[in-house]
Amino acid sequence: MKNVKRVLALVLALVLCFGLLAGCGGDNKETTPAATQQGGNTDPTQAPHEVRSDLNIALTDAPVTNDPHGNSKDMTQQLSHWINDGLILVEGDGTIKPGVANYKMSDDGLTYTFTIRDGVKFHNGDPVTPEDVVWSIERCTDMAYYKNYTASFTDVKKTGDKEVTITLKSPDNALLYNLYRIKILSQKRVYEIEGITAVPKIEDFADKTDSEGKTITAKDQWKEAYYVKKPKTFGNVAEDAGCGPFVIKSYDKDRLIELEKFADYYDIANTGNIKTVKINIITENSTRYNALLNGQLDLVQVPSANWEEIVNNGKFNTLAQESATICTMIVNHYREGSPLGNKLVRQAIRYALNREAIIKSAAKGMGVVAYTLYNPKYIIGSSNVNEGTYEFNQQKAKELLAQAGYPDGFTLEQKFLVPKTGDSVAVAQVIQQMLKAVGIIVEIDQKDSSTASTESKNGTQDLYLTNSNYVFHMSDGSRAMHSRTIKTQVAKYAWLPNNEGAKLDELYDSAQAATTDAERDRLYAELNEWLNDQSINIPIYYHVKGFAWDKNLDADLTNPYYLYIQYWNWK
Amino acid sequence: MWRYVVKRLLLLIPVILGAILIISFVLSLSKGSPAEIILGPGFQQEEYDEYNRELGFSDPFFVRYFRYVGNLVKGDFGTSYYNKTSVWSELKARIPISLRTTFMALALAALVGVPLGVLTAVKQYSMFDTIPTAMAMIFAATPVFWLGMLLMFFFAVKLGWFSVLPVGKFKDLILPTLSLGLPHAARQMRFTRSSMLEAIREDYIRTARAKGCKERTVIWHHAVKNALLPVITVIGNSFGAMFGGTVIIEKLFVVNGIGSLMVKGIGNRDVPIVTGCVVIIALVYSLVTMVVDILYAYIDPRTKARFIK
Repeated sequence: MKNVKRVLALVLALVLCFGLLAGCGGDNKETTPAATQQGGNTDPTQAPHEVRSDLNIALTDAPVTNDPHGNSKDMTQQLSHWINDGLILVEGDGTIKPGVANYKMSDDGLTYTFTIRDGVKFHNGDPVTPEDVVWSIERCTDMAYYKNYTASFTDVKKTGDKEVTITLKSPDNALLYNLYRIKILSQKRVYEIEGITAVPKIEDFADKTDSEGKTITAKDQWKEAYYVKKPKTFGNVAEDAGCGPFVIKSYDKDRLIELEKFADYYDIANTGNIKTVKINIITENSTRYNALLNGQLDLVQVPSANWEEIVNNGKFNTLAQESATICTMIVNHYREGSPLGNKLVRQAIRYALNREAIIKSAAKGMGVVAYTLYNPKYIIGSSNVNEGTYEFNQQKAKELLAQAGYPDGFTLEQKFLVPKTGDSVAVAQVIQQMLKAVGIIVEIDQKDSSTASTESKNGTQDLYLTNSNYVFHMSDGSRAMHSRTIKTQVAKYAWLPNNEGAKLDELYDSAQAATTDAERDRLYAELNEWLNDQSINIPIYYHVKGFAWDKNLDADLTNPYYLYIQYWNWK
Repeated sequence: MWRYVVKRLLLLIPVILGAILIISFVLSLSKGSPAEIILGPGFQQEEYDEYNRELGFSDPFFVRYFRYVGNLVKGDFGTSYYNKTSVWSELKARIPISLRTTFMALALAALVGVPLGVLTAVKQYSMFDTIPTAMAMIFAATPVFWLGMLLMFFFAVKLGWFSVLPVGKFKDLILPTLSLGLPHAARQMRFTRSSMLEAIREDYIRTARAKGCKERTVIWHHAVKNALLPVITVIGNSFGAMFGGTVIIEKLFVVNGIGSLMVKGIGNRDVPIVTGCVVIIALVYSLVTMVVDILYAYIDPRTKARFIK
């Protein structure tokens, strides 16, 4: 009896404690999103309310640098588009508009003249000059990643007080899209940040030999110094060398980056009412999602597992948007003695894949079947020419295998390499079972994304699942398929037998040099048909990205590549 | 005693050198090079090779090892391949964060686990034993990540008592501390219970009771003091495991500590960053075990006599 009384007393005491603690808590999240110190969400049904001017968003990974020419990775590029502008701006639907300069193209398509617009300034207040434009473009021709985009240039020079002229080897209908990526920096400001007090001259250098006996010419040393090819400080601190809509206020790149609107932005009249931005670096999907529910983030890309929940939640605007990011499977066609060297086998694999089922089961419905590598909805030059090809047909797959000399299927000697990101492993597992159904046996090899990316280039796998992001223009695919980058490619079309791969180079080159849209589209359609026939890079599905955001935020998400927060408005 | 301390400090040197050797060797076996990760796809192999040469990555293993050790002696942890920043500046920012998270979780584990362990042992087979033991089994088996997500969802999202992202207040530390500390508290509780049960069955406890000592004195003055010795070792080991192993909690609660830096460095093949993290973790772990050994001396007169001898 005594023990029962003690237990009851203890239970009552615990209930009292929990009750007290509950009383100390915040608002009930079921009915109202919380207000936070960062500027919280407000109940949209309560009016009037103060219109916000701050924005809280997240990046999924830390940018490598804020040097716009320093790295090609997605998060670095995204940040770059907020703090830097180029000669050209490109809207989500591919519409070209002037950036810091207006442009004219010569009749033969070999000369582009850019006139810097009035009032264009860098974040430190200096005007953008032709010298800065020339320096920035030349810097890109020497920076590793951007060489591809300036490959057609023969000359870039100042031709007037506000004028720069670019001369090309041959017409290039991708030029303006590539110029969008080449951001204009203040040469003077970059030098100041790096502590360079005098402009390096070639006479300051002499040829030298490195530890391996290789000669480094004076010119190469000068280029490295003049273009600040390997900055020590610039890119790692809050800097003001750009001319984009936002300025970096603080830069802790692994945790929080703060931007504020550039008051002297040349196109400020067309921007929204967002004045400050807090960019949180949050690598964990569930944390970003919970931060949205909690009111600490205003917009997130929702993990596919939570998509239905957030739509049913009803408290946020949602949009499931087909993107240009494509899930593909690359086939190792060049391993000696491999059945995958036979085009019929590769085509059989395509018929064996039920892509709708892959999307439904592995991607949780967040995908659209892909017939071509370049989403025709977004990519300039792409088309629906391959629509409806290689629809799921197990019988056809088996017939093609029999025709190729494998009536009972085969076991692949090397593995199916899969990076452990997103839904990739689940997709690979479904594909493995579909291949098994037609007699093709393969073992999955899961690796972290860095290792998988590195291994994929050395041909030690038979199949490789990857996600690729082609931006704006079909020429963007050439950096992963043209023979000039063969050594670092995965698909290695140039190694097709009988020099068949030369056809790819020819089509890419001629399509990019086409002087009319009709000719360009015709050649790219031929390229897409050729790629489809070869079936080396097998398109599976385009990712559908689900976004959720605060109901008071008017966020335009029509751009499938980047978020253009400068145009967003709070209601 | 001071001779012992100096001796232990000197032993740190071969420990750290060994840790650097092992981690450098393991990293050298992993596929891919920093250039391929940093530059990304689309370059010629010569460009990757040149970049690796500039980083010093192409040098033979022992050249790199001895160069690193030589620089470390001068206090130079090197430059991050990926960020181009000084490794020490990255570590300096994160060490206090990891130490704070670890100390708080450890304090929770010790302050909750040890008294509960004593209670369950003293009240064996009663309700005060059964319920805590059952809860300890649940928490000990609960994955840290899952517990963290559950706490975040329930207390931050549903109840709104905490924020999901850090806002610079003390409250930010509570959920990560609970996520990390509760499973360790459960383990501490079970270990303390086991150690106490052994201690209270010893002859000297029977003697103390026979002499007429109060039960409180018997438990706290005699039994607990003897039972604590192995518990202190476990607490010390937990510190080491927590300090470098909090990467999951760091990712979930957006805490930028040593664990997440090391994992990021491994993914980027950023050898200086990974080696720097390992040096710090090895140093902290060695210092903690040294402190544990010294504590032993203060708690156990037999050990103290050995030191003084």
